[in-house]
Amino acid sequence: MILKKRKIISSIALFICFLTALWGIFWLSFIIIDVLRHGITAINPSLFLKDPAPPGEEGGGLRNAFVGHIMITFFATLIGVPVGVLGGTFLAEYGRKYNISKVISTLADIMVSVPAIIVGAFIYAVVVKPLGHFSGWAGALALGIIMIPTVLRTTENMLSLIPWTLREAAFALGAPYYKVIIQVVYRGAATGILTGVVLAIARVTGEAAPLLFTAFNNNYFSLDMSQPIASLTVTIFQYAMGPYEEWHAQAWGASFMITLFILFATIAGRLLIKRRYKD
Amino acid sequence: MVKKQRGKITDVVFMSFTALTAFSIIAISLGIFFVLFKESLPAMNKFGVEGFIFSTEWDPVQEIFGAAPALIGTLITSFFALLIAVPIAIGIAIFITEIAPSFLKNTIGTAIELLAAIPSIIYGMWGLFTLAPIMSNDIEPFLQGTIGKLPLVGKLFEGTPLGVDLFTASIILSIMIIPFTASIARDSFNLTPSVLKESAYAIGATKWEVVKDIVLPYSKLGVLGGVGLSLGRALGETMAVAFVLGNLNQIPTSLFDAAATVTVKLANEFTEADKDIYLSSLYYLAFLLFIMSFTILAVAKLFLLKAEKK
Repeated sequence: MILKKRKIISSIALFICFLTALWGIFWLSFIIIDVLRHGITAINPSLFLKDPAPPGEEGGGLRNAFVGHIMITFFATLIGVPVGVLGGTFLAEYGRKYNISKVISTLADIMVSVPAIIVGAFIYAVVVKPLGHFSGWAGALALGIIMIPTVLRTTENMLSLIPWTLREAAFALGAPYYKVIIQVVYRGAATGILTGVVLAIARVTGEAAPLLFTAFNNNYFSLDMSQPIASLTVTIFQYAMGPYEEWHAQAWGASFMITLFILFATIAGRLLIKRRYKD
Repeated sequence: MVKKQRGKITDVVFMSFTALTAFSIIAISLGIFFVLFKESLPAMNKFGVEGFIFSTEWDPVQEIFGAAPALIGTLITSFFALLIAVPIAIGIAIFITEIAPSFLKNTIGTAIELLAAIPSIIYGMWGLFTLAPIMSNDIEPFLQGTIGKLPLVGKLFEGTPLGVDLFTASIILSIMIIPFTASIARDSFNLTPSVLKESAYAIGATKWEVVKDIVLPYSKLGVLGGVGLSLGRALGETMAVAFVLGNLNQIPTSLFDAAATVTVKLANEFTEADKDIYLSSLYYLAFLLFIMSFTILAVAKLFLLKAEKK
């Protein structure tokens, strides 16, 4: 009798766990399907090829925001990836014996989760205020800083996975350490590092908060990174909060593109790493 | 000989370069701390610490600023989000590690982690256009009709259900932070030695009893670390909340009130701050937020490191 009761309790508890998993999947599908449903109707050539029309008028597109977004992300990657990869190299190779490396690695783990809007406020104080105006560079720098800890930690982990015997073999041939790192260790860890980079790019692509007061926004097409520049995420915020139906539709279209890109990049990154480290 | 020396020099140069970049993490962290502190000094001098934290006034015209409504908004949304998300995340971790057949494990794990990959602006957009109407038309009136009728607890559900309120914001936040607790809890559960579990099964424990009495106690440090990480994320979440909270500077009395959080205030008012003391007060808010989230994340990380050592 008691055993039966315990078995029933066990089944109920496990069933509740099953329901929690359904809860998570339910919201994921709800959000994705909703974004796809609203977004797909807003996708048309003029969304990509035309600049915004004056508020309230029909037509127009988000060409400026697409181009601006790609530029900001590109330069952020140029800042974040080299610093992150080299920093991770120090932690896993030259500095692996020092305590300071552990401190840096812990600090990086914390900085990964520090609110992105704080980084925006920081860049506003050190770049935007002294220069006197918003700029694409400030936006790229903010996103770059957000990328650094992520890339650094992945690089460190991936390099530590390379067996020491491999390095020793290269040392035995008389290679200096930097050559061992570049020609042996990096080669072995390339897929892993690449995955980290892809995931970091996917993450910053969706950031809006740090761009609000760094890159700001621009209603016109611009390639000048030293001036305010439009980005998809800030435009989504502005358009979604705005009063016009046309704006809402375009914001859905932009959300659709961003979601698609990020889901694709994230899944690709996961597959990449699974393939490489199957065993 | 010359070649060998050149290799050595290059090696030193390369090493210094990597060291420099690694130390940039320290420089950035300290930089953020000192810059935020310096920028908030004028507000600190004018309003003091308690005078700022406990004051409910936020009046840009008369230049009086107080942080209480924003701080309370941040704490309430994060608290309710945790309250909903933590049990669910632990349930998901149990499902993945103990129940799901192996072909489902990875699929469900990835699906849950995709929740973390969706950008917060998408959550916000979806929250404003899809979830908020559902909330105000169906779920919130329903809650008012049921739980809202109870004494005491009912007070939390008073007011006009507009959908743009603390309740909707907390629900969205809770969905966003599920993956952080879930993935760390899953990893900690997996660390439980199978010998322990097997011996419990051998004396006739049911699956749930094994989970409740063996796996959960064994991995509680890791789970706590995961909860801390989720809390740190929830405190700093900006865009998702900015869409559905209304940025109303008042101390909320019901879950169906519009409110503000520190991040929402920053996002909405930063570029509008025309006076130095206004901007400085916003930096003061940012500074408080940075201290809060950094401390919580650091404690969470300590828990995780301790759990790893075990």
